[in-house]
Amino acid sequence: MRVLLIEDDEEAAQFIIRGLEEAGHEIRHVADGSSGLFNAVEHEYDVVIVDRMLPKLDGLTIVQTLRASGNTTPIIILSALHQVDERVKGLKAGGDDYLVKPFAFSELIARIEVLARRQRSVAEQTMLQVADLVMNFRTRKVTRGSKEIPLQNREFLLLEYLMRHAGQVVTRTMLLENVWDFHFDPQTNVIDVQVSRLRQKIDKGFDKTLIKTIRGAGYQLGESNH
Amino acid sequence: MFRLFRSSAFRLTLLYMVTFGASVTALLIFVYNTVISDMEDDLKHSITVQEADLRRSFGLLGPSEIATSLQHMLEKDEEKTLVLMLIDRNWHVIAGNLEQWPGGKTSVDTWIKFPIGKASGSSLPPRAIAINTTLPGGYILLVGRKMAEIEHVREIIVEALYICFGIMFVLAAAGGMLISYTIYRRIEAINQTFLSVSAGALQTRVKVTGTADEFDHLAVHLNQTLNRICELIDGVRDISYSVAHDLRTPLNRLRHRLESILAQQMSGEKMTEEVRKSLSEIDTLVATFNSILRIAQAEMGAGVEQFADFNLSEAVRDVVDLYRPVAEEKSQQLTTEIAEDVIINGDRHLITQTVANILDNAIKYTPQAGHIMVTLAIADSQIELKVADDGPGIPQEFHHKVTEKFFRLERSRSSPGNGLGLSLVSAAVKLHRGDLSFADNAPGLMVTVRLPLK
Repeated sequence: MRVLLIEDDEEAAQFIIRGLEEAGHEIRHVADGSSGLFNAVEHEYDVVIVDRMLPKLDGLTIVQTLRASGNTTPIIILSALHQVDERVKGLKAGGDDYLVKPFAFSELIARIEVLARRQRSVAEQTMLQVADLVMNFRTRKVTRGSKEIPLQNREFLLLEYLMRHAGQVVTRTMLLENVWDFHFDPQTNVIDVQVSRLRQKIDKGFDKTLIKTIRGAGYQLGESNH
Repeated sequence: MFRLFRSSAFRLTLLYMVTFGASVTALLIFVYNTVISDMEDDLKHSITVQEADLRRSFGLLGPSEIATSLQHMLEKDEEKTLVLMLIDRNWHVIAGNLEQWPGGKTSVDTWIKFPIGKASGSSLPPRAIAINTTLPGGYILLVGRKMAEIEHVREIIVEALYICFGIMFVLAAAGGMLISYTIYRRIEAINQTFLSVSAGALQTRVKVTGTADEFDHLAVHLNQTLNRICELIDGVRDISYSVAHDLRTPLNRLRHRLESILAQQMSGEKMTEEVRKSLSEIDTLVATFNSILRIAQAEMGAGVEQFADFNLSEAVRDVVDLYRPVAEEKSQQLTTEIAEDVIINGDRHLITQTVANILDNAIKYTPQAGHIMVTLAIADSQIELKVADDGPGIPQEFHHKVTEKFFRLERSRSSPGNGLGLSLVSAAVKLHRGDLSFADNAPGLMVTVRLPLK
């Protein structure tokens, strides 16, 4: 995957570059806003990572300019500003995701992969299938093999998110933000309990475990697909 | 320094006095005119009566008798106010106390006013008023009175006017100074207070005199504003101290962990474990910082302009759904009674986190198989959210302390948490102009959040 990183903090940039290269991505780094915008316009990228505050050209302006010119490359905004309204501003400007510093690297890489893949699967689906697990949107029924699995509404949404990102690592924060639309860290690990309950329903009585815990990162449904 | 003429109170008083003076003058002029014309009417009346009398006598007695009778009347007039005269057709004076006929020859059968005698000093010469009548045989009779009394009254009124103006001027000046000084003193007290506040004496307050006038109201409001500012400053100071103190412990643990990784020859597996623990320590620290930031934002009132209507019933239900599995893991019974479609104007994320923090606490501190009840209702035209449990509760004396930042009960120090959960709840509730209270649920704790209906 080709990633453009626009980040003026050299140390943070080196850390991200190293991590992404290890994960097998091709990465280009620029340290100021105007050359960042120039690069994003001149070349094709799968994902652009842009810092909120940059010399010469502000991160939000870059996002706005790119979107105004019709560029649809997925953009992740990095910021040390934690206010909810800052996040809203970032997403309104056209960013696809907003990550507050400091963050775990696993959080960043999970979000990059989810974003980069989202581009290719936007078509409306009537069903999702991972291995022998099938989710039917018309009947709102979930079956594994020949067994029907009754799910509560929120469990259905949680499983849907995991299935849409099958093979990718999704973090607890991503689940909390996308399934519940909650933007805070709960003191208790509610997501772990929710997922383990879902796992009880999905995996109990089957030989193959579909929902895997990725230590230090989050969860993954199905086999890695890269 | 008190500058009288630049004081707006003084200028207003002067303006008031000028207006007042103009009305008094108008009143006096009206009184003067009424009195003078009344007196003139009286005078004219008695002149007319006498003139009619004399005219009748003339018809009966003839000119020489009348002349004698005129002389006689003048002699008997002790107050010397009568003016009488009789002339013949050739304008020869037959009798009377005037040296010559007043006015022109045309002024016959009319009222005339004329000066009489010499002017004494600076005052005007005395005047008289008279009527003249043509009698049979070409004689002309003039009957009149000196206007001394009227002149006297006029002088009195004019004098009164002058005295009045004099007194008014003195009163205006004195009153103006008094009023403006009184107002100046009250304003100056406020000025001085704010000067010392801006010079750093933050505890200075405007003195409230207790008269409950508009200055007292102003003073009370200014003091409230100052108190609020002080609270905010204290809050910032408190949190700086708290952050410095309470973050030392986790930082210290982190330091030891990193040191031991550096110092000991660990196996790869053990080292990975140590690093993992360090990372989770850092995550806790970051979470604490995030909480501090959110509390600070709520306390500063940030985000009020982004308040929007949302369905609180749904938000509460979502939070309960999120936590239900956690409660079930502890075999706790989580029951709800949530009124439908309670709409609130506020920050959805902050309110959601508030509800989550309260419920999180209830589940965390209520033992296995305990009961937790979440109620959302509208009571007394307020939104009332209650979370009640039958856990250990919070002793009464700590009810007001649990919302302080980093405060933790002694017995819960070992359980996870940063002592900021309820501080955020308190700040968020305050931001939404609500009220947070704790009560003994006998046994357990009941947390009540009251929020204004939109």
